[in-house]
Amino acid sequence: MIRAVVIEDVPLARERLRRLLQAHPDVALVGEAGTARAGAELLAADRPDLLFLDVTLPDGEGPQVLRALPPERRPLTVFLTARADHAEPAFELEAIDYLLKPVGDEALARALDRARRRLGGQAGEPPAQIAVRSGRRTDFVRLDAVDYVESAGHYLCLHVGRDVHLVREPISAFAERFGPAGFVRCHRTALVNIEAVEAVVAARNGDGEVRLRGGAVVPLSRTYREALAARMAGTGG
Amino acid sequence: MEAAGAAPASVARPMTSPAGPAADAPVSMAPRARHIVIAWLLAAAVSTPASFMISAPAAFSVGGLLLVFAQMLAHFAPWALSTPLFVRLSRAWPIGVGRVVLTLLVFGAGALVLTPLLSGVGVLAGRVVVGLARGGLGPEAFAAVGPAVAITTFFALPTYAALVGVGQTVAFLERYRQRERLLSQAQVQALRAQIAPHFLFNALNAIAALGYRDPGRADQALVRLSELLRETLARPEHVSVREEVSMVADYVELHRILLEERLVFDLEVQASAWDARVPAMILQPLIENAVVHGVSRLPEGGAITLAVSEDGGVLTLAVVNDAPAEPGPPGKGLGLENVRRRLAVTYGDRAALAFERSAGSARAVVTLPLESAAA
Repeated sequence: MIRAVVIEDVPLARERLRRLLQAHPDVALVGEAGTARAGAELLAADRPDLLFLDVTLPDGEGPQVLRALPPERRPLTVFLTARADHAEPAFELEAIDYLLKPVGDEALARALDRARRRLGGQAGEPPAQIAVRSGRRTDFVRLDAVDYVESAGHYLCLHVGRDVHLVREPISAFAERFGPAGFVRCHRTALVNIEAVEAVVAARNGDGEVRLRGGAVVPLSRTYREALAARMAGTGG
Repeated sequence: MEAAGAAPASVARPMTSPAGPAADAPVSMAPRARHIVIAWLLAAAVSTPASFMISAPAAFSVGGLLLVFAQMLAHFAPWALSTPLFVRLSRAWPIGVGRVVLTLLVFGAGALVLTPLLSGVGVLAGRVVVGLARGGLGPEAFAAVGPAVAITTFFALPTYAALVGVGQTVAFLERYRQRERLLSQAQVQALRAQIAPHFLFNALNAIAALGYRDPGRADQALVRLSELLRETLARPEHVSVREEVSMVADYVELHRILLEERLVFDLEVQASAWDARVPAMILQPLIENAVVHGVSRLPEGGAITLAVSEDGGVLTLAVVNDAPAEPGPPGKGLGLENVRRRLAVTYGDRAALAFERSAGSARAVVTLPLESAAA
């Protein structure tokens, strides 16, 4: 069980988070605070695993609450913010993620996934399929059927044969989640399923391309070439 | 005569700078060094025959003619070297934008100082050239140099005036370009500002109704809408195809929630087109059009396909959608018109929007010059 607390000044926003967390039975919300001061008291009295922390509080800044604690007492922290440009201090404090308000359930699920991994392996095996949501319908795409993944901003294109599925997830989060399942970066904007790789063709400048069994060609940048080669060698032997 | 040399420097400058924020950076249209050299070589060549005849040689000789040409070059060298100075002076003291009296005084004083100075140096340089050619720089090489300088100075007054004219023309063109650029940027911003509230209010209206029927879905729609709004606010003037597609995907997802998923979205992006540069939110009105006049009017729903490809330096963005066989009441076409005007302001006639309807489908195709977003 992951014990979580939230420090956020808008009561309705806390209620929303509580409701969204109902979808995650392994996470229990054990404390709430509406101000920086009350939050500091809460964290002094309890040692939660996970903290949802609003960046702007009525009596101070969220990061201050965290800085006041000695580093070893700081829980895993997910910042809540209305503005993406407020997320910078979050990462200076080694927050595991930040959520933009209003918080969406997919983004929350991703942040919790990260928390589970940091808290020690509870996440277990990466899932064998990935949920592709469109409107009210959710399709489940088998990961081993995905040939490669391409970044489309904060979306991903999952290429399955001739089909393309759009998933709202940054490529870095996907790489973190599905790296162990056999997806390897070959470019800043692309990951390939190593099972689907047919050939790696180097160009003279060190970049190149990865040819897949389905016929697709994915760009390969020299930055990732060695890592890809190492992974490929790993599957061979 | 000098103007002919200065003019070519102004051609072939793109109307918009590739980097958006540089719009208020000064525009430089100063003539390049090689243009200045060419202009003054021409000036020297043109004035050579007359000078040759004035010097009244006993007989025509090619050597004599070349010597006069060299002398002319020496004459004009100080003027050529100071040509950039005239451009700079004109930028600081443009004629016709206030300070009339002061500006005229500056150029009057310039005439009194610069003309004798440049002429004097030119005449001396010419004498040196001739003297060297004739075997010595003795006193005879500089005989009657005073009156020569005086006469040349008077003849050079039109040269001074012409150079001021060139400088002023360059300064004027620079101001003109600058204003044009700022104006086109303001236009683009105004056109973009039209788009955002339009879809924002439409969406809010639909979500307000949805809230009664299906709170969960209204919640989803609001999350999506706030993400869209955040992107809209943060957007620079241009983005990559990647960013634009992700914005479109959010927009489609919002409509999918609102339309109860009767909307299929297909994406076909050529791998080499992902990092091409497009005006931000250029696709949104086309997708909105496809939803509002197309798919949303089909009871069974329909598909929208976005295809992005590049070929031969041209980027093509095509939005194809299912639509009712009978065209509905004609819309005001604000969305398409907006896209068309933004393309025209940014790319002139190098970009176009084509729109065609046939029974059961509609197709909007934007073509624009291929530029990299990374640059």
